[in-house]
Amino acid sequence: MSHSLNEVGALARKAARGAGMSWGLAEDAARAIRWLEARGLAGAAALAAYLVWRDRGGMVAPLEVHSGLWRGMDGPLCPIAVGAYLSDSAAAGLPGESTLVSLRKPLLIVPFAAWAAEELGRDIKLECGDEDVWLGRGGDAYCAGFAEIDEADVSLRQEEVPGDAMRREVTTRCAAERGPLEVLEGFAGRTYAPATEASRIAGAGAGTSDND
Amino acid sequence: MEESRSEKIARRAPEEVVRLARLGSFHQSRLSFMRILLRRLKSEKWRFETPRFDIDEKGVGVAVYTAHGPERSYSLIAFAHDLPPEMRSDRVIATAWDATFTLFDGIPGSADIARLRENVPKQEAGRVSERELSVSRANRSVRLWEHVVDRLAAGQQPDAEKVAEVGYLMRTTAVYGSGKLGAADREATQTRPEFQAPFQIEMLSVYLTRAFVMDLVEHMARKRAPDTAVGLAPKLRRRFGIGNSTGLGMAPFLINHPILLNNWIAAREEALARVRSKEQAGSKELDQLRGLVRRAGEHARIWRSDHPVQLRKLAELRADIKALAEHLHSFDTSVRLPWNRLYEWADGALSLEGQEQLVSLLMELYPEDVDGLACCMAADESLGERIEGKMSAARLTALCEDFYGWALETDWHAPEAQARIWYVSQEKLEPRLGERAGEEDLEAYEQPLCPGRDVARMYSDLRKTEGNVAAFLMAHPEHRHIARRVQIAARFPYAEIRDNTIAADMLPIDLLRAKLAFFGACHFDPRSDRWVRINMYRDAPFPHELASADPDGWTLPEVQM
Repeated sequence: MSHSLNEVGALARKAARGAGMSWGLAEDAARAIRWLEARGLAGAAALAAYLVWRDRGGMVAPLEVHSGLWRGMDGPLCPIAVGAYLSDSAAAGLPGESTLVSLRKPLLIVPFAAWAAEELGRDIKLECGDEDVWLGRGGDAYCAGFAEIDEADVSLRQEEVPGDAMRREVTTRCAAERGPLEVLEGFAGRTYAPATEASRIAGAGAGTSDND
Repeated sequence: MEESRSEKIARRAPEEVVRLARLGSFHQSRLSFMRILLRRLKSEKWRFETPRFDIDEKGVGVAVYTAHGPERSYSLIAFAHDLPPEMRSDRVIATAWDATFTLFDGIPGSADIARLRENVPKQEAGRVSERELSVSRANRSVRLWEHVVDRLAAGQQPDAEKVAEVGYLMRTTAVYGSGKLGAADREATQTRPEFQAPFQIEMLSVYLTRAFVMDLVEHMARKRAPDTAVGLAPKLRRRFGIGNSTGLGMAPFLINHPILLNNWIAAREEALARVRSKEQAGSKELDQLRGLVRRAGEHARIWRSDHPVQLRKLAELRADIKALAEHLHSFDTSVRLPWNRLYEWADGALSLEGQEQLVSLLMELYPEDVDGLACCMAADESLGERIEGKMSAARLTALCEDFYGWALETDWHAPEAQARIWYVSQEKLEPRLGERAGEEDLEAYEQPLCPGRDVARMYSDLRKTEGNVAAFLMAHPEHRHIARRVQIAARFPYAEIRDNTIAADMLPIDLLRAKLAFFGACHFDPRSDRWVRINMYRDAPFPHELASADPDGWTLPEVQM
């Protein structure tokens, strides 16, 4: 049974917020998960794993950027916050090559790199160990890796997509499995206020009979 | 100085239009989504049939209503239930209904219906697939349903006064589209011409639902008394619409979809500007407007509500329509820009209800200038997702000042300014509105539905910042949501409501009214400050009548001239 992309996007937004991100970053997490799932990439599972890691005490650090080196002041980098900065700042230009040091769940930065490629009007190659992903300037993704990587250094280069690279097809459904979605639902639940009797009546404005 | 011969009257200013009080006074118009749908069904000669109607004497079973368009067909699958009265509730916490529905993409086979029978009656507790475009449910109006079945079974017509008083036999309590419960996302069907305008799937579903409900009530009368039962007289039959109860769950929609709100309002404002820019008008248009004003008067006369706010607004509207009729009695259309003059008069002489009623009526005069704007009302909301990070912090500061001046002047420390808090309850996962002071620990659950306050918060950090927005937001992720919004507001003039959406005196029903007026709803009847009942398609031709009926002329009641 598949899910709609709107469903998984709405769930990711709430889950990211429930796990402590700001609403604005949670919105970007949702866009990223939608983008990944639409290309058959396991975005929901990656976000679930990342939020669980954070919830168990994993700390990400504020970003410092020095001559192509992106690193956390005293710990690993958040793929959503750093991804947001990457796509926000791409229009102002990026160095030809950068290294993102100790990036958590590198799969989650892939959509942001795709948006950066669009802003730049240049293709981008992400490389991590022996896995790589290309993002075309038109917003397409080519090949895919990173799904199993929890934390690694990622290099980001402006490099043409090779002619034989395989483009990821875009679908309208999300094939995420039940497990990660349940994890996300757990985090999403933290955005819901426990009901009180007063709120039950006043909050929704009911209290009168509507059986007429 | 010689006057220009083709003066274009500008659209009204956003700070005048996008205010809660004015949004809460909107009326249906030619650009309402129901009317856009019926015009298309008519002009494209859609065909309708009921390939299945298996409902037993208890009112339990399934029916299928199929609409055939030029390229594709869509089927409303209706499941009818025998609901114990104590389970009947309009609230979202309900778990059973008199009828449940899904709009199917195509013509369902028996396997589809078997699958949906296991899921659609459960609504939120069920799952549907990308073959389904919407999921909805409806409850009977007990008082009217019993009356109509009784009368028809006895071979009599129902009491017209009773019909007018309630206006519908069933009211929908939710119509879910766009990916909810596993249905197809809007993005999956938005390139189809029939679904290009907003909410066409939902409007089609409700239109077919109305046909089903009327067939069902006649069917139940026949089951009760096969020898004596009669059908509804066609004229009286049309007086039934579909009711709808809309609660707080829908109120944040307009805040959460700023580009869509912009496009809806921009289309309507452009329509008004085109009419106001007409250099001349003749007696034909004036007579037509006088007739429409009379009909609007009748509409206002039969509009019922017990809510004090709506009662006051209705009194104003009735007085406005009287004043408008008198003004038109001696109105001179031979002047330049006659409708602009009329609008300017109304701006000073009428309440917001009357002004907005006039806007809708003026649009009726010029279908050729108005109807085509329907295609501009959909929105590519991805246009607002990306943040322009290279914008300077100084520029973002200036945008806050330009577009949110009212918010920067508000004293957010005053208790009434932040009296309310939007949150989502654990119990039913629906938006609620609480009192910030009264309820403990709600702050942590606050939804981002108060742009004015959030701009003011960002502004105080932003003013101290140099560099660009990307760097500012890296350091201040808490402002990321509102920074994105400000950039949207700067590009889409009508995107942002220029009012405090968490103020002590804020009325959520104003948000509901605006959205439902764009749907094409009438007879707004607030049941509290946060939920409202409406009527949809009242007086509209039924699918089988559409080929020989006016798809637009039904929205105001006929009056004897």
